[in-house]
Amino acid sequence: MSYLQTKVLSHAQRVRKLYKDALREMYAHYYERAHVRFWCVMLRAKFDEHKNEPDMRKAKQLLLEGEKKLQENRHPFPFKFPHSPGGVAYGRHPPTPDWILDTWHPLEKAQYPEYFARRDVRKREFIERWEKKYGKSEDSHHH
Amino acid sequence: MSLNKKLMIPILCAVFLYCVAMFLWVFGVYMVGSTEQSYMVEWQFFSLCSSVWSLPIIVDYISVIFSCFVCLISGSVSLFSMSYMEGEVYMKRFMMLIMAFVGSMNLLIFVPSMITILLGWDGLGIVSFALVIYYQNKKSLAAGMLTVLVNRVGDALLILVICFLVNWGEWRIGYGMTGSYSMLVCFLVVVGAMTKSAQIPFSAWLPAAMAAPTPVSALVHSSTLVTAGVYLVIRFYSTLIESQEVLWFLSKMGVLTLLMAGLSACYEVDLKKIIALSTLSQLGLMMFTVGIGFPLVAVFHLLTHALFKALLFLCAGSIIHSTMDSQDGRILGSLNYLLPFSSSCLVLSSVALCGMPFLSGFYSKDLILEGAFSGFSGVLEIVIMLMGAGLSLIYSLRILLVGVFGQSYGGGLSMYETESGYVVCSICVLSIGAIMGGWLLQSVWVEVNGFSLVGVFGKLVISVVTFVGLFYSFVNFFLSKILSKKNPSGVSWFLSGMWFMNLASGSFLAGVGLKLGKTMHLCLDLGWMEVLGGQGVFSVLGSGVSLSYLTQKGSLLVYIRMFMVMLIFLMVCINVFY
Amino acid sequence: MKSPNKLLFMFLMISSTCLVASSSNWLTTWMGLEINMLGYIPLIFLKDNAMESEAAVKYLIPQSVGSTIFISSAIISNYFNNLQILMLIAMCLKLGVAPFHFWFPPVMATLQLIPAFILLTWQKIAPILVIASLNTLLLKMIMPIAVISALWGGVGGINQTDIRSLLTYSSIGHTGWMLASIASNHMIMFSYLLTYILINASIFTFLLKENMKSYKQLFYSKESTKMFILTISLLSLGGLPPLTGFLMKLLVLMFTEAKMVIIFGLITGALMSLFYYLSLTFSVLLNMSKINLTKHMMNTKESTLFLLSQILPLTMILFFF
Repeated sequence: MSYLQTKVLSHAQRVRKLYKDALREMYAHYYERAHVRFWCVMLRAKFDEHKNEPDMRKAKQLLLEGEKKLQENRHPFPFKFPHSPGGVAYGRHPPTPDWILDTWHPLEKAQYPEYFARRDVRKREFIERWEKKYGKSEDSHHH
Repeated sequence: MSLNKKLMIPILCAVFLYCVAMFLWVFGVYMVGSTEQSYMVEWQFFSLCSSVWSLPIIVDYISVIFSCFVCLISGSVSLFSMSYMEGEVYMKRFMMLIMAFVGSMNLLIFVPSMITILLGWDGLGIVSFALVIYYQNKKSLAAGMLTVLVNRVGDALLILVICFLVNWGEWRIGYGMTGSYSMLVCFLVVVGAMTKSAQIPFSAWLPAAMAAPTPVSALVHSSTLVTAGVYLVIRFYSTLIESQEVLWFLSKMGVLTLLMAGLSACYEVDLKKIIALSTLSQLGLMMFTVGIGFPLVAVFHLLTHALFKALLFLCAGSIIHSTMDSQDGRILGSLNYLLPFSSSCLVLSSVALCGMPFLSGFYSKDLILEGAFSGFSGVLEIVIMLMGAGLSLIYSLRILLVGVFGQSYGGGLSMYETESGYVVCSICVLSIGAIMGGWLLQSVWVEVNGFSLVGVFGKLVISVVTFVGLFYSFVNFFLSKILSKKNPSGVSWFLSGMWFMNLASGSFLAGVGLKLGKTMHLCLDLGWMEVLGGQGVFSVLGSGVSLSYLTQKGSLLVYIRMFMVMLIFLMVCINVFY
Repeated sequence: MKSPNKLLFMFLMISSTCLVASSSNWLTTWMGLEINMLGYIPLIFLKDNAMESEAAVKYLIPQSVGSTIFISSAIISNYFNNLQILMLIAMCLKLGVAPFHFWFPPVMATLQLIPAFILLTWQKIAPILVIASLNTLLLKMIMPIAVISALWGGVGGINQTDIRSLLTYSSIGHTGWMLASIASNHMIMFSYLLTYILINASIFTFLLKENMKSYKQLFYSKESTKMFILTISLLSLGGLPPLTGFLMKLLVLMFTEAKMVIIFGLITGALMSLFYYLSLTFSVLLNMSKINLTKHMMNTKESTLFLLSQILPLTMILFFF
């Protein structure tokens, strides 16, 4: 856990993070759905076992042990869905910037009349809001 | 069915490449291969300082068959990319890159001159870089940089070879020439070839290059580009035989790569990366075969391997395309129900890779194993090689078990697609190659027919190894059905990380290089080079200029006096020294 | 050069050089040299101003000193063979080679363009022929002088703003190269000299056309095509590799019998002189994109001369291969 800590986490939050992380890890380790489910249930049971731990020191100890164990048993290839961050196809088809639509030819725009009419209205509203908030811009060119 | 203009380009390319392949097969292979004649055209530009500048073109069985297969595979890939790249806007650019690749590959194949080989070699490096970063995300860029930089190392070594070959007076290769620095030249060529074929210190780029689109991986990173290194070594073999130490080194590195890639493939979960690692292990096997002295067998294996590996990649590509870019083995599964055609061809090619009798891989792989027994190699080497061969069975079956027969964890069935006609067509062509290729080649090319005599013991060992691999993987598969807790240990980290090769060639080298570069910049560029170079010369010249102004300041009488002084001085000097 | 007396002196100058070239004894040689000098001095006067008179005096005195030393050492060397070296040094003084070059830049700086051209080119022929006809043992001693000349030609030319001074120093450097080539093969020396004269001819044609003296004028010239050709000629004079001037230097290097130290000095000098040629021509070269060489523009007298001066010397290479 060598990440830079930017906010204070309560004990409960850390436990929840640990649980979620460990659940994710199960998907990396097992190929069979049934195995994954089985070990997830086992994991839940282990967490539930100490759900109502009255002694805070012991709870802290358990949490640290759990985090250590998770780190030690990381899978070399973490499980990622292809299009989610870190996956193989992430960023493969970058989203088109909105202003590209401004560069369309009027004939092209005419093919989607409703959409562009709505878009023009929204744009005008946006500019109005902007000018109300920050004052009038000297540059008359807007994207 | 109306083809729009965008799709015309790959169709044209595919038809063209198929026609070339057909032409090369019918005329080239039956004319050259069966009569065992080689033709060589050489155009000599000029001879300067006793170095011959010439453009040789060699047409022999190796080059013709290799070129034929390159065209066949790239034709299939073009056809395949009709479906795989259907969302692509710049189809023309993609096909141009593919054709540039085929062009530089053929330059490499047909012209056995070091300089032209360097041209083709550089072309391959650049095109493969452009193809790896084809998807414009960060991962591809990182992989592309790794690829192109490792290939650059090879280019630099080949340029060094060209420099040293000036001593031999020509840059043509493949005549069994030797000369001064023979050993160094051989070593440089072999290490250069190892970068292209991703042998052990340079292995990290091949799995990373799987960030390219799958048709590209099928063409570039499995069957043709990476075999360019092996091809160079084979062409250079007649010279290499003179320096046995280099061959010894090559065989050791090859067999280590075989083991490393095989073990890593057994841990990898990404479908494409498993195939890439299996390619790597087969490349190691080829290098090993050349190293122990069977270049012809290595060529044979190279050719059959190209066929079934391209098929394997196309099937994987079809699967990846149909399941919305999923290539993780833990997501994939049950493909035998979902994509029966692709998965059956996947099975076929995996089986060919394992060396199933009478499929392509059988002919070549069997020859290699037999050759290893009769060649000059140590016991440990052979043991590791047999382990590697056994591992090839394990990882092939692993692909099938995790992908084809396992449980699926994708989205809903509505997300799946089926193969289009183009995919079916291209896969069919390559399947025929994978089934018949070995047999056809052996029938055309009589030289590789059973030449080695192996005892009963050797044969037995080969079959035992094969069956042990099969047995082990099945046992492992059924054991995995049993509920047990798996904890990855340090060893598995080591093995799955390709023996930490990617760390060594990525972070380590980059770190050292950057540090060294900074030191050089500070000490040389901003330090000594300034003092001894630009600034120093400038100050010296400045004082010279002021001296010349000083001497030109006086009047005519001063000049005459100076002349007299000079005259007497020179007279004294000359009379003293001469 | 309209008055008939100029023609007479021109004739004297040319015929005396021929006399030097064809003479068989030192006396006739000396005579030829004297007549040559006397024939050249009236040619200096184009505008009859004080500058030109000064130049004439500055030219006359070192030349006559040289001739005196030459004829006296020629007489004495009958008895003291060692003193033949004095003839060599006297000729070096007449040529304006580096340790004895002090009269050369001031004279050139005050001359008009046409006499300057004659001084740079034609006036070199006679002394060099004399040096070439000296004893070959003496010619070995010429190498240090050649190196000093080449180096000094490089050093002195840096920081010069006057084109004539620049050409003077470049001539000093080139004379060093010529002296280095004398020891190997006379053919090379002749072709070097001829190339040098031709390239200078093409440069001076342009300079005369524009009446250019300071090199800052190069920046403001209107006719970009001519500027381009002038630039190429200058670079050729400096010996930039693909051009003719370089081929001549290459010939010298290939056939010379000099030691490595000498060759190193020569090359260093050539590099330094190339530096000032390049700094002179950078502004023009960087404007190359604006230049369009059409067929019409290449049909002028200057461009023809330029092409001739660049191509004719190349044919002389045929003698050597």
